[in-house]
Amino acid sequence: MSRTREAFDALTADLTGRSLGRVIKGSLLEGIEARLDDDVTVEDVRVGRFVVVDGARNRFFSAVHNVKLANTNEDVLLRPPDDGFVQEVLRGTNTYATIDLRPKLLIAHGEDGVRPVKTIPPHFATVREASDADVATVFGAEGLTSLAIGKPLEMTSDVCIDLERFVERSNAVFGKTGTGKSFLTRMLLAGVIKADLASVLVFDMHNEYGMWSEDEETKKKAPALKEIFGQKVLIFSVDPASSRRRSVTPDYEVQIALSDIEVDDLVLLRSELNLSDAQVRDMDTLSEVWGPSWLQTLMSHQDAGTLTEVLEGFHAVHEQSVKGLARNLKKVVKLPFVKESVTDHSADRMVKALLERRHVVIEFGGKTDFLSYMLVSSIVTRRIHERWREEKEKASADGRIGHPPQLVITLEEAHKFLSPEAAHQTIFGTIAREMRKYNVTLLVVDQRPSGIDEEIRSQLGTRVIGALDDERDQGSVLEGVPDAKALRVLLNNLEAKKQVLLGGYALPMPIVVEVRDYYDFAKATRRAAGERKREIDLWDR
Amino acid sequence: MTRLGEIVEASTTKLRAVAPQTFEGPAFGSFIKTSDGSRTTFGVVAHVEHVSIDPSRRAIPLGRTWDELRREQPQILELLTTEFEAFCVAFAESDGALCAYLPPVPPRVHDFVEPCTTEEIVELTQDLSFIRTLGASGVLIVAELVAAAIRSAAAHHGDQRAYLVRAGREVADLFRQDYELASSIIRRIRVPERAHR
Ligand SMILES: Nc1ncnc2c1ncn2[C@@H]1O[C@H](COP(=O)(O)OP(=O)(O)O)[C@@H](O)[C@H]1O
Ligand SMILES: [Mg+2]
Repeated sequence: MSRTREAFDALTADLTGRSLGRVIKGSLLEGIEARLDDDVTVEDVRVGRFVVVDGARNRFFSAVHNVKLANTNEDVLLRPPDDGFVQEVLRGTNTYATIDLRPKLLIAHGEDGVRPVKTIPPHFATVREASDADVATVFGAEGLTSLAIGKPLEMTSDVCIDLERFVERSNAVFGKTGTGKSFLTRMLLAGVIKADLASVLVFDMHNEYGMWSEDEETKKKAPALKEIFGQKVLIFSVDPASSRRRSVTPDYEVQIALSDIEVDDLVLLRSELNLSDAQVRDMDTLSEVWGPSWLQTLMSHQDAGTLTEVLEGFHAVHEQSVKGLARNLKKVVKLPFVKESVTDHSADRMVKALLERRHVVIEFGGKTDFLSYMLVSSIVTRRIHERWREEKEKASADGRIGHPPQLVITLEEAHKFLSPEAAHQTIFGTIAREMRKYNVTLLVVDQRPSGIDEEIRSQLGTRVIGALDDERDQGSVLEGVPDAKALRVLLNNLEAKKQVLLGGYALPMPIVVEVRDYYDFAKATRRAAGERKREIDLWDR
Repeated sequence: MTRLGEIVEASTTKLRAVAPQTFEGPAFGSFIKTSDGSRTTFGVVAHVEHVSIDPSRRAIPLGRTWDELRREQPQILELLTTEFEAFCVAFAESDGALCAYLPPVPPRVHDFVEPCTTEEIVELTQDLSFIRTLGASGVLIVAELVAAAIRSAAAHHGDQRAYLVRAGREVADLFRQDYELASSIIRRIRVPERAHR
């Protein structure tokens, strides 16, 4: 007790943060309004800045949500002074500025740690810029299971994400192209891997997570997961030739047998394959009649020209429609990694590695080839879904805990998989909705959050949100979040690069951070991972 | 000791004094003091006038320059006098500290009036209450008087601009019901901004 009191006293005695103003209005419902001190220039107070309010018994923590101009006298507005001196004199007497705050957390005298606010500070309580000690009190220090992701605006201490909580739920990284989503996602995954809190699976559409990625700005090679963690990470390549061109040696080539492809996988690809409703029904019928090898059967009849005869025995299908279907599915069958039969089932191999707490990055050809990307992702994810359920049910029956390992499935271009139509028909919707109890969660990475099914968005535990231009996207990322309106202001004020709004289950309160430099992070993490002895000068080039 | 004048009329709010030399009165808005041996009263000069000694006989135009007048009619100066009025703004008992409000009794007639020292002015004007006292004096030219007093006080403060801003804010606050008046005072004390900023 006395120790925490000392800690509180030490914290609140720390008045290093500059005083900004005093509380003049407030309600728990609508937040606090504080008048800025006359010597504080409005322009120095940035929305998103982390501040504290010193009440008599509590210290409140908040972000600045708005900055406003006010006046005590209408006459001033009628004839605004043009003289600098007069303006300065009137500032604070006739004109003043206020800031809006939304305290989220407080630390009370004699209490251990922060807790949610249930009250507000009194009139005239001092508002000051938070000190580094304040940030540390709220956002913890970097540790094995907490990842320092960046710093609050204009501050030097870390904001940490609680990785244990992070992996428990599905999460998202949103932001328009170029905001740093992929760099940041890599940091999150590296944090999870380093802390050994989950197996990580990445559907790496743009080849950024395996060995290294090309930094579009500096043209440097940014080290990626395998470069950092070595053999704990396995690279599967869908397009080995492309991997080789980038001098990456994949651990495995992805091979998919025709019999691995199910109707559900193709339903996900409906628009890529131009399938009509009737053709989707046809696929169901064919697979019922022909079983797992339906696709192979269909294609061989198509090739042999025997389709018309065979279909005579079917009632429910329309010959022309099925022929069209076969033509459309040709695109799938001709994919280089799709084989009649395979010696090595990639999906099984991946599942095995993931169950052994290793990590898998699936590289695609680098071209924007949604067909391959979505097909492979769907097949692999379905397999995982089956196996994790089985394993979890077995483990529960045996009373074994901690098995199967927590799994984080990372999806770039997630709206392709989680659109309102897809979410109800495909495996990804199922995972997002219910796989938490089987230890599987999604890490959704996307530039078009409004394209993602609303119910799935509402399931997201932790959100990392970068700048978004589109109104609908801005609205959708905060849908269902408490205080969405206030947070929207923070979101609108993010800089286009390396600034994000963080909030949700793995953080004590929402906050805007300046994302830390990836290269420093990667260097430190690799050193800590200690896997590699050979120093490669990739980093500093 | 510079003698600015001798008191000829006094009340608790103001005093009237005659300068020892014609045309040599104190400046409008300057800070003065007078002591009766135990209490010192401080004031701000609110009015200065050059008049005929005999109130019933006004000076008449003579059509000569002052050089010619001094040579030819030196007695003419004897017929004129310089008088001034000051508003009381503070006092100090001989032992006590400065009280920034009106004295309990008026200054004494025939006591002398002297200028305040820089230290006294700084002490007197630090807390700005003289602005309120002058503002309540009811003179018609309150804007001019307050502005002149602030300017003369500021000249004695280290950071003049900061002082003027502070005083200006006091004015804005005092006359917040009368933006016109407040801004006319503030314009009269403004420091010209540097050419480019
Ligand atoms: N944390 C970071 N450290 C260093 N550079 C970064 C960081 N985040 C983003 N960048 C820079 O911004 C560029 C775009 O980032 P990226 O993650 O590819 O954006 P997105 O995936 O949102 O399109 C990168 O190529 C890199 O130059
Ligand atoms: Mg990206």
